[in-house]
Amino acid sequence: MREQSLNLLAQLGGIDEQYIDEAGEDIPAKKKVHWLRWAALAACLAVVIVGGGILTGVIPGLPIGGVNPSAGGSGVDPAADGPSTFMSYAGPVFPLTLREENDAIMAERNVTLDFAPWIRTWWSNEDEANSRNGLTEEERQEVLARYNEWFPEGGRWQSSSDILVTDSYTLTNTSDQDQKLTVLYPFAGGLYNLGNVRPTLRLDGVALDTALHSGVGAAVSPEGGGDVLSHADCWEDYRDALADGTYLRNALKGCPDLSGTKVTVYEFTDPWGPEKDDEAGLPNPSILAAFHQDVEHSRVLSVGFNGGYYGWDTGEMKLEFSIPRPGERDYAFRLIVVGEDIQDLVTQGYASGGGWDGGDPIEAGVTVTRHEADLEEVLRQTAWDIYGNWDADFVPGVDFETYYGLLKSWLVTDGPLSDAGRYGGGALEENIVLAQARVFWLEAEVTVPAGGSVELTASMRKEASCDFYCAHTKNQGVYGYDLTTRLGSNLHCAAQAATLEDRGQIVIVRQNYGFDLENGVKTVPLTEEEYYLEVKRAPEG
Amino acid sequence: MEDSAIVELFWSRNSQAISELQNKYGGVCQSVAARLLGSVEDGQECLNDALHRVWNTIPPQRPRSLRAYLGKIVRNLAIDRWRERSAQRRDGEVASLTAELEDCLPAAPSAEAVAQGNETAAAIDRWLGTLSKEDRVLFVRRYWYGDRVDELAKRRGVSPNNLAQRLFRLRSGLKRALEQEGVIVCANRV
Repeated sequence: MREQSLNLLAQLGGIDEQYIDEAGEDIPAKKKVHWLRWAALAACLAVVIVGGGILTGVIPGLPIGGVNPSAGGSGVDPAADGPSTFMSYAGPVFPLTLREENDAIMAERNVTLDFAPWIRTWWSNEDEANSRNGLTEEERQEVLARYNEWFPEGGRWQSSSDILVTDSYTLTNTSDQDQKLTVLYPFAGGLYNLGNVRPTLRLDGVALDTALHSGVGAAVSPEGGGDVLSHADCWEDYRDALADGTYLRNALKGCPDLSGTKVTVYEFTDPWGPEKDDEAGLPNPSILAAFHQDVEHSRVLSVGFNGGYYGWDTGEMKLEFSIPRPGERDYAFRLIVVGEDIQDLVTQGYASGGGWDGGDPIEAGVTVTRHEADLEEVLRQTAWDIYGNWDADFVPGVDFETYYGLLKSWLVTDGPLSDAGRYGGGALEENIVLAQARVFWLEAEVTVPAGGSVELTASMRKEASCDFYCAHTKNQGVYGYDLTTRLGSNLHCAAQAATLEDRGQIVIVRQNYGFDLENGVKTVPLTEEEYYLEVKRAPEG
Repeated sequence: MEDSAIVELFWSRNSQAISELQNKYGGVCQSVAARLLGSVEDGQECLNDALHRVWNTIPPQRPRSLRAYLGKIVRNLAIDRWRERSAQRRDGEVASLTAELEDCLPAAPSAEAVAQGNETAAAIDRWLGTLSKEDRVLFVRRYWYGDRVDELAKRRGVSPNNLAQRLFRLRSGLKRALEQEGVIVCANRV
C-alpha cells in the first residue's frame, strides 16, 4: 500500500460539503453491516491459505512474498549525488535485446529524449466541454459554465510531463550470410496505460508487425520483498526483476495452460423474482446459493456473484447475486469448482442482499445446471464474459488474449488458485491484472543482409517518474527519466549515444549524462550501465 | 432538529448539542469510521473523539453542514488510527480504498507549476463538479463514505463488475484531472 494513496484518501476528506451531503442522501434501502462479516472472514481466509496449501500439486503456484515495506518512500536527498528514489517510478528505457544472441550482429544505438510534450498548449473551456463524450447539450453547457467560472480567461495552458523517446539501432551484419533476427524491445508499463506507452517499431522507416509478451506481475525480489515491480521506486528494482532472466523467460513462455484440469461448473440461468418497486419499498431481489465446500481440497471461483459469506472453518458457503432487472445486459452467474465438488447446493430468493444474515426470503428462483468441464475452456468463456462487458474504450490497447493470459497467470501465481491465495474468495471480477506494473516486450522479425545494415527504431511516449510529497521532499516539480544501456540485453553494442531535445522547456536538476545546455552539449556518448536525467520546468521567459 | 439549531446549541455551550448531533449524524459517521477500520468498537471511539473535537471547535466555527463537518473529523481520525496500527491489524476498507486510489495518483504531475497539497481537495471538487450526479454520488459513496463495491452495486441493481468498471473509469478521470491541474498528493492534511 502506498503512502501517497493513503494521503489521497485523507485529502478526499476535504471535498466540498455539498458533495458529502448529496451522497449522504444515497442511503441503502436496508441497512446491514456486511463488512463486519467480510472483514472477519478475510482474517480467517489468511489463516486457511497459509495453513492449507490447498491446491498444491493440482496447479503449480509460485511463492509470493509480502509488500515491500520500503516502497513509497522518498529516501534520497536530492541534494546528494546520484539519482533520486521516486515515489512514482515509471521505469527506465531499456535496450533492445535478441531472442537468440547473435555474434554476427553489431549495433550502434542512438537515443533521443524529446521534451516536445512539455510545450504548453492552450486548452479552451470549449475544448474541455467538447471533449466529454455522451453529454446532452444541456450537460455540455453546464460543464462549459463551470469551466468558464473556474477559468474566466476562457481556458488554460496545459502540457504533459511525458517525453518522446526515439531509441534507434543501426544493426550491422558482419558475416557473409543473411541474419534473421527475432528482436525483443522491452518497455515498462501496465495494462492500464498500455495504449499510451506501447512503442512502435520501425525497420528502415516501415512499421513492423509485433507480438506483445507480458511479464507476469509477480516478479519476486531476491530478498523476498514481494512483487518488485508493483512497488518499484528506482531502476535497481527493475534490475533485480530482470537480472537472472527468469522474468523474461516466463514472459516468453506465455500464459499457463490450464487444460487437463477437470472442474465442476454450476451455471445459474433465468433468475426470476418480484420486480424492484421503489414506491412500494421493494428492493431489487437477490438469489443466494448455499453449499458445503471441502476447503482443504477445493477452490471455488465465481463470476457474477455480488457478495458472500465464507465459513472457512465450517465449509458452509453462501454466495449471492442481484437478479438483473429488465434491460440490463446479460451476465453470467457461474461457479467453477476446482478439486472436490461442492455438496448440498441450495438456492433461495431474498428480498434484498445479505441472505446469510437472515434476510427476508421471497418467492424467487433460478435454474441451476451442473456439468463437468475443462478449466481452460470454462475459464476462457468466463474471462470473455468479463471482458465482453467492458466498454470499448475501457482499457485501450488491451486485447482479449492478453487480458486472458494475464488473468490465468495471476490466478495461479497470486490469485485464488495459488498457494498465496490472497483473493481466496474466488470472485474473478476482483482480479488485479489491469493495475499490475510489468515489463512488456515487443517481438518482431528482422533480417539483416550479409555485410549490410538496417535501422531499427522504437518510438514511444515515456511517462515521468516523480515524487508526490510536497511537504517532505526537495523533489517538488522534479521529473525523472531513466535509461539503461545493458540491462537484460544480449545485443553487442559498439557504441551508444543520447541526444537531448530540450525544446527550451527544462532546467536540469541532476543527471549523469553530461548534457550541458548552456554550452550546447546535447549529444553525449553512453558508457555507464544506467543514466538518469532529472529536470524541472524552465522559468517563464 | 435543523443543523443551524444544533449549531446554536453549540454556540450557547449547551451540552444537548452533543446528543442532538449524535442522534442526527452519529450513526452515519460512526459507520464511515467502522467501515474504514473494520471494527464497530474503533468506529465508536472515533465518533466519541470527533464529538469532543466538534465541541471544542464550535465556536468559533459555524459549519453549514454538520454531517460533513462531523464526518470529515471522524474520517480523519479513522485514517489516523489506521496509520497507527501495526501492519498485521490493518484490516477494514482502508486497505481496499487505498489500493484502488493508486489508480488516481498522477503518473507524474503536470509539467505546469504544481499546485500545493492543500489544493488537492479543491481540484477534486472541480473534477466532481464536472461529473453527472450519479457518478459523483457513486464516487463519493465509495471513497468518502467507504461503501463496499458490492453494496453499491446491489443498491444500483448492477453487477459488481459493471460498477467496478465505472469506478475504474472515474479514478482514471480523476487522475487525468489531477495531472492537468498539476496537483501532487501531499502528506499534509487538508
